[in-house]
Amino acid sequence: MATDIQRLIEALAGNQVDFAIIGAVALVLHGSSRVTQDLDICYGRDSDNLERLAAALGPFKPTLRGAPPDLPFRLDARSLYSGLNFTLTTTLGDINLLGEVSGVGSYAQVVADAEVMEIYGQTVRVMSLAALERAKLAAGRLKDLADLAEIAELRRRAR
Amino acid sequence: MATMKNGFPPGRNETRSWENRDPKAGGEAAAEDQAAPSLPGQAIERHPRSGEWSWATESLARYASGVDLTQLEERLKLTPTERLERMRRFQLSLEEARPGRGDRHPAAD
Repeated sequence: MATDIQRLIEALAGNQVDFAIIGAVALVLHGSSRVTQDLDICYGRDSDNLERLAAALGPFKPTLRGAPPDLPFRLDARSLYSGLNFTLTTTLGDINLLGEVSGVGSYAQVVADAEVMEIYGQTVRVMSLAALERAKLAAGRLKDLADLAEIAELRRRAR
Repeated sequence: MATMKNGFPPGRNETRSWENRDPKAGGEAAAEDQAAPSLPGQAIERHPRSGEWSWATESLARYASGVDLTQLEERLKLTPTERLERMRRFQLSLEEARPGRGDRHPAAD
């Protein structure tokens, strides 16, 4: 199932969640031809924001992706506070919540040089190409190599 | 070559170190004072945590990137929303083209 990125962004922005789009969707927003099935976001860890994040995703019945179906899980501020990174399935598709991004840092560090884009009528922060490059280098998976080549080209053109 | 740690290859967030190469084995250069790999048109950056040139940077410098510049140029003409929509349309077309269960090879079940 293709994730309904538009509705997820509308839900997050509509609930004033402090978040930034990261990962492959951020790459696509910068111009990459990458295709991805899920939306990755980095979110602020203050308690008010955790409440807003839980409220934004709650209507879409989030569950832990890959966890046994009988494993009790309720996405609320408390569970978000107890963890850091969550891979979730919702009725709108898959979304990954990252409290920290390897190679970049926390939400504050992600938004420090994030770009602000207008997406589906919402003003949204998107991880910069420079930060995406650092994250890809830190992740160090084989598929990141292809992304790094594209990021290098996109950064060259942005200069 | 990735450095083995406790008999296992490095995890996704561990550094592939140049410094751990044995210069005598395979004749590779010692890692100290490595010059920056040459990558045309790009300022090479060190690994964000280790400060070394990463395995990825080395590979990028050695091989053609394979980036489809025509696709990239086409996407750069679009707005961010249009770029997402293009990806979504592509995903939906793939899902529609996916064979139904009756077309699947029994071994796939």
